[in-house]
Amino acid sequence: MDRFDAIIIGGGATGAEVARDLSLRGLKTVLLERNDLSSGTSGRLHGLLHSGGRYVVKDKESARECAEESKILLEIASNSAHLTGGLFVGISKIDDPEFRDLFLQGCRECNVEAKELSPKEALQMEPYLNEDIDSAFYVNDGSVYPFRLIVSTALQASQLGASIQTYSEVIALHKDDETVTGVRVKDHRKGKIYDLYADVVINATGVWAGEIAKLADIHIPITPSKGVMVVIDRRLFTRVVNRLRFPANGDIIVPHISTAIIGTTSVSMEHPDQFPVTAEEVDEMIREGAVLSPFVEEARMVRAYAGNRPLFGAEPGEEGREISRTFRVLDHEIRDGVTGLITITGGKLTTYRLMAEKTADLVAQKLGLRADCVTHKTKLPGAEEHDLDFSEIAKKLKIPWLLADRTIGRWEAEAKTIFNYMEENPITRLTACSCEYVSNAEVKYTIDKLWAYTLEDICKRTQAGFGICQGGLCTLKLAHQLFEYSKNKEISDIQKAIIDFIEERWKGTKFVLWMNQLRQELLNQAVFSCVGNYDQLYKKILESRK
Amino acid sequence: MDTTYDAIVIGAGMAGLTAARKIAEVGKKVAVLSRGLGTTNMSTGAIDLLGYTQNKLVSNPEDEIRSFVRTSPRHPYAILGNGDDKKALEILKDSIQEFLKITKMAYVGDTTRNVVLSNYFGTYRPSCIIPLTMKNGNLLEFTDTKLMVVGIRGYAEFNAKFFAKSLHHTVNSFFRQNTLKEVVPKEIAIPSLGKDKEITSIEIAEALDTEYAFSRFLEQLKKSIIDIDVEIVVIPAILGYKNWVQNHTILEKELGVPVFECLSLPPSVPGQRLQQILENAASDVGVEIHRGIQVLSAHIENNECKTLETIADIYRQTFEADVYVLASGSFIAEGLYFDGKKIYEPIFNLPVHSPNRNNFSERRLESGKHSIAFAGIQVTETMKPIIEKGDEITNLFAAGSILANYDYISEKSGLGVALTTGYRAGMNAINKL
Ligand SMILES: Cc1cc2nc3c(=O)[nH]c(=O)nc-3n(C[C@H](O)[C@H](O)[C@H](O)COP(=O)(O)OP(=O)(O)OC[C@H]3O[C@@H](n4cnc5c(N)ncnc54)[C@H](O)[C@@H]3O)c2cc1C
Ligand SMILES: Cc1cc2nc3c(=O)[nH]c(=O)nc-3n(C[C@H](O)[C@H](O)[C@H](O)COP(=O)(O)OP(=O)(O)OC[C@H]3O[C@@H](n4cnc5c(N)ncnc54)[C@H](O)[C@@H]3O)c2cc1C
Repeated sequence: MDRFDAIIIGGGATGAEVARDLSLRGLKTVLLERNDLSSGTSGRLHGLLHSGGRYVVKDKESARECAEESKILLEIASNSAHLTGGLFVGISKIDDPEFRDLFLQGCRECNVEAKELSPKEALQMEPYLNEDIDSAFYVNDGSVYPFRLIVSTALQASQLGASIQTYSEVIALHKDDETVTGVRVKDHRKGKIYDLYADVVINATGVWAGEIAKLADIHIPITPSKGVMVVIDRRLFTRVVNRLRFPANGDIIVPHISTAIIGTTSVSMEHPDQFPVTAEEVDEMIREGAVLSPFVEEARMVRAYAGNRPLFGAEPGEEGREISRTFRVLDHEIRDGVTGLITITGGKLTTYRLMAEKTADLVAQKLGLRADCVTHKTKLPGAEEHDLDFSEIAKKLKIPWLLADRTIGRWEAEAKTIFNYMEENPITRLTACSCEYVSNAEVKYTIDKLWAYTLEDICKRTQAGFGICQGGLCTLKLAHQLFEYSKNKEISDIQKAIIDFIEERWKGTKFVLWMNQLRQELLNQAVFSCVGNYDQLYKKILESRK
Repeated sequence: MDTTYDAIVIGAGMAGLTAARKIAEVGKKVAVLSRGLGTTNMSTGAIDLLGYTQNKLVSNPEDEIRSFVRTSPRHPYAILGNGDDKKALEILKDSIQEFLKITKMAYVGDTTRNVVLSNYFGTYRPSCIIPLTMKNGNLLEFTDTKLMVVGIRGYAEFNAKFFAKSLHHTVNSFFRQNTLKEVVPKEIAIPSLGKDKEITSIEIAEALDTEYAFSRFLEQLKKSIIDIDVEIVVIPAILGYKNWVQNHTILEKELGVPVFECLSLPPSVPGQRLQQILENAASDVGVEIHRGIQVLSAHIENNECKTLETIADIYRQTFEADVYVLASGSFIAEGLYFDGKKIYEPIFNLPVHSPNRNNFSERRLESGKHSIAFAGIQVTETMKPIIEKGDEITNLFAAGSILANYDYISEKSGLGVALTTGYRAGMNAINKL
């Protein structure tokens, strides 16, 4: 059973959506992701559901796409995409006042709805805004939580028969003359290597697309463009706030649950795997963020992270022209004379559905399949209508109402499955993470149904460990759950999962450690190392596993 | 309220309360000012002297501390003896003896022998002066031992199955082969605390102080042990706040096997017991403990601290004494403060020693490599903060985790340094008076 209609490489938003799209068209697919779902750029983004406003002046094509796609996502992915609304504000004496007219004109041309506000109105809507603004617009920006968006997408694909294989890296392409016939996969969890074959192989590896293409001796001009983001401990704004100026560093703040994220930058990198955060970049984000709101400086920095955008360079014949930042579907049969391989790269998270649609259209054409795209009218699991009422559930299951409320907030209709677990087994009603109100049942759900194999996987899906304590008190409790519910786990696997998790979180926190965040970190280190002795034992644990 | 004292101690942790008690014992009038609870209250309650040097498990802390005088002369333990290793050890031993006395023998330990204890993670670590309830958990004394571990339904912080697997693997693989033969997990419910409800260590400990809940607990334990031939029983650290020693004795007698509590995470019941012991001992000799008072600044004149400005809610007050002990803890307790650029000591604005510009290591778990852990106040051999010539404060002493040049997390020495330096600072304050 190693034959599929299509093999999709890359478990970001695009790859997962290609799997969903093709599955909805009735094809048998397999999705291969070398790490966890959304561990690439899709999990390292700003989380802005673009109304298009950001691009109306410099990249009209992208602006149009975003305007249309963001509307669709609010319909089909209402559990992970939210319309927060957004403001564009011009800061007096800093931002070029002439940009205002360009912006208005661009919005008109690209069908991006924008409503002008007086500075006073804007300040009433967002009291923490810098008071020195001289122009403001309202747009339909939103926020998106990529981890749940992508697992829901994969969940629907798998319900339709797709095979979702994470921690499975493509290490070679099988080629028969100039036809790609399959892939060689390394399973990092089981340490096995195996082969898969299909009619079409789809390279949806985003910024890594050039690496996969290399395996077929094809060159794709992609420059990784790094962006840095800083998370602060308060929501500051209820809407997305953008600077009204030519896009530059640190000019957007996106509210995210109880936090806000300041971003971002744009720096060309040598290699897609390279996205270090430097202390200078963090300082710059805080400095620029403080121009939008002086309260940024008082906030506690929770975390910093970065990702690489896949910037598609000029194709032969395109050199020298200003190229759109929109996506590319590459038909390698036409482009390079290699059949059986299609690459999709570039774009934004906001346009992932459209990217997948265009890709799937090409696949359908190649396979002679007559089936239209239906992803724009097929809701994701969880996005269906439901009548779950947190107070009723809290009463019935005897759980804190906040736990019921937050669970529904995260999973909407899918929360039913979690409440069923609680009903069946009362012990799963206990909370694993008390900062974010995540129950054992929810953790079990991600392990049973959503391909969570590590602590980090669990936390990305549930937000456990992302709260105030940053995992200090819940790491052990989450490890208990991983131990209880994952299959065939050796205790040394769990210990390694603890170590990996502690180190993974460190990558984000070590740049923002001062004031209260430093106190929290030292307390967490005391828990892991002073009490748990993990500082002395980690080497032994890792060595013993080799 | 009278606000004039012979001595004022800032901070009510292990260091501050030890210093205060020492000074009050010779008949002086002493106040402790403390904003809130510090790290002592969060600790596992087991007093580490020195668990590791150069990432090696220390078996005899005295030997290692003796050599510190040569190898790490700036370590607080070396400073205790002012270059004389015998003196350092003498102070160490005296302070421990006195500590054991104030616990009314609820603590045990020997400064020449570390013990190795287990914790909620199901791993092991060394410690030295420990609550009686942990005495039977010394893994050094186990050979092919069959343990039973008891979890409590609803108490999610401690998972008996996980603990059993993890401890068995970790101890036998990394500590010493054949230490544990088997670790059998069991779970019991304490009926009076409700079924399937989430319960905390604090709730369990409070309940076990009552005879009703304790007898139920004992009953359940007896039942669970009936058909297993275990040699030792390990429980989470929940045996009560008031009756823990007595409860422990009854358990061992009724079950007929040794029982021990393992080291817990905050909020930690044994840490809270330790805080209580220290506060009671200080109050017994007349120390006035003022809680909820934050010291804001000090008034210095002619190289002497004259008064302290404090705030409690919105009430400001001035306190005055002849000598002062600064035991306000490290970053967690806010004795030190880092704004992203510089580390401050906020009350006296003392110079803070910070060894390296790079505060943190690449790896989070890299022991002893986070240089911020070594930051703090450097002191002279009489425990006076080292300040530039001309600006010295002659009636100020410092002790505890605010001191520089040691990393308690990696070497496992937190409460030991706080106890010994607090003791030493107290003695020196007496001399000054
Ligand atoms: C800093 C920054 C901020 C951004 N902010 C926003 C925003 O606010 N809004 C927005 O709409 N867009 C934003 N974007 C853009 C958006 O994140 C990306 O366009 C989008 O996530 C790309 O998704 P993808 O699925 O194409 O690629 P990815 O998410 O990168 O997916 C590719 C996957 O392929 C996997 N892979 C690679 N090699 C292999 C292999 N050999 N075998 C198997 N798997 C492999 C990777 O692990 C990865 O998971 C931002 C991007 C950056 C960098
Ligand atoms: C989770 C954890 C577990 C630990 N486990 C162990 C262990 O098992 N064994 C061990 O030996 N050590 C352990 N430690 C370390 C140990 O707890 C500390 O090293 C020790 O308690 C420090 O004592 P201290 O008296 O110096 O400071 P603290 O106990 O922190 O006391 C400082 C006091 O100063 C007060 N204060 C601060 N600023 C002001 C101000 N401006 N005005 C008034 N008051 C102020 C605080 O409120 C507090 O009362 C652990 C630490 C943690 C965090």
